[in-house]
Amino acid sequence: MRKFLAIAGVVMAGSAAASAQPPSDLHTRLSEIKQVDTPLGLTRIPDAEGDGREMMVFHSWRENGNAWGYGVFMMTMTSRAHRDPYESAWDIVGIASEPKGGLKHEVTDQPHTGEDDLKVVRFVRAKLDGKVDTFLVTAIRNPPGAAPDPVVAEIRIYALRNHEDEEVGTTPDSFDPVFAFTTTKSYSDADDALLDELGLPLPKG
Amino acid sequence: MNLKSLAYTVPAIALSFCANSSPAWAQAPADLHKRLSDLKQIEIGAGLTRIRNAEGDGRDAQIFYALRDDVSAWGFGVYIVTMPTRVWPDKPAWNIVGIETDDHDLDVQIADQPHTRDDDLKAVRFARGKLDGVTDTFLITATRDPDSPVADAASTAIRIYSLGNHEDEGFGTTPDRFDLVFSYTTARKYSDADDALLDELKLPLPPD
Repeated sequence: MRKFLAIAGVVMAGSAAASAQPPSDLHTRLSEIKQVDTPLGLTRIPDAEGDGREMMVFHSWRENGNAWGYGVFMMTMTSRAHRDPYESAWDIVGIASEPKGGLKHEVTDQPHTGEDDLKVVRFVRAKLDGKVDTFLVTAIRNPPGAAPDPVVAEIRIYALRNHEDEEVGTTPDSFDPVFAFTTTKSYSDADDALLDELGLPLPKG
Repeated sequence: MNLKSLAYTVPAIALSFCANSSPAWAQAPADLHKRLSDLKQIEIGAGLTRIRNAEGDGRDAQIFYALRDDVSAWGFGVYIVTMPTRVWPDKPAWNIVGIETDDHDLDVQIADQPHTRDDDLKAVRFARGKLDGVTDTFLITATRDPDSPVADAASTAIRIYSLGNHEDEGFGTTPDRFDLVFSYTTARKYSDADDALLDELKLPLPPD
């Protein structure tokens, strides 16, 4: 059932870049959202997929000496097949940007000044259709003019899934798109979009 | 610009200009082993590896290495190098060390391509050594691009990058970065990029 939902979600997200508005059942299906803080460095998310395995989020910063620096997030897990050896705890969790496209092995944010974020990346624990899982959430603004200009934001929500029983070309675990929509409201900061649309708290400071 | 950064930047610019006009020099520079000496490989395991005093000013570098499995021979490893800045040495040490590309941009990561591990297409190593007598940390890559089967012997592009600080250069750069200082194509052909590094630079083969 879980896999079916994932596939349905992928098709939905892939048939268009994002649906024109939030799915009407978004807050019915996705509930009890609790953000996981991922400061710079390594953050462990225990029992990330409900089978005892933890995920690690490696967050580093690509400084640029101006407002165009950005964060790089790479996620790793122990595969189910090799859950014992420490060395195998560093299998990258792919990010499926498209239904049948390649997997990205990193995701980046784009905070600009920090007051007018163009892209934010968050991790949350929540329930999808009643089942607890770990989710990657992104919000992207693309203003045609100045960075703080209010503009609609594209929200993408990915669920963490295991794919070790599938054929070549996939990572053992990956974040699969389950919701993708464009906000009806315009925002000057992608953080505000996630606060308003999903109730995710603003960054500290 | 301090002297150390000048010492690295000038040869880096000159050499990377050479590297840009063609992918790599046609053969090993005649003075390679005279200028680059005392190479000692640093073992990098999956996860985090710390390189103490990486740039000679007391700051440590950390290498994050993760595996992008593909359930085939096309998996690869990804390396991200981070350091604290000189300006804020006590702040968290997670600033990415950029890696100079052939067209003078900066990558935030570098990947290997081991294929079956007996016919590596790209090998990535880190080493301590001396360049013109100054101890530093080096990133070294060997890249094969055979025309047909992966195991076919092919000339190999060797690239050697030195770690230098660039905090006084304004925007557009990472605080520290690996600058390309040597880039050449081997005269000899290799079926495994690991063999090229052993033969050309005496870097040991990976453990079985």
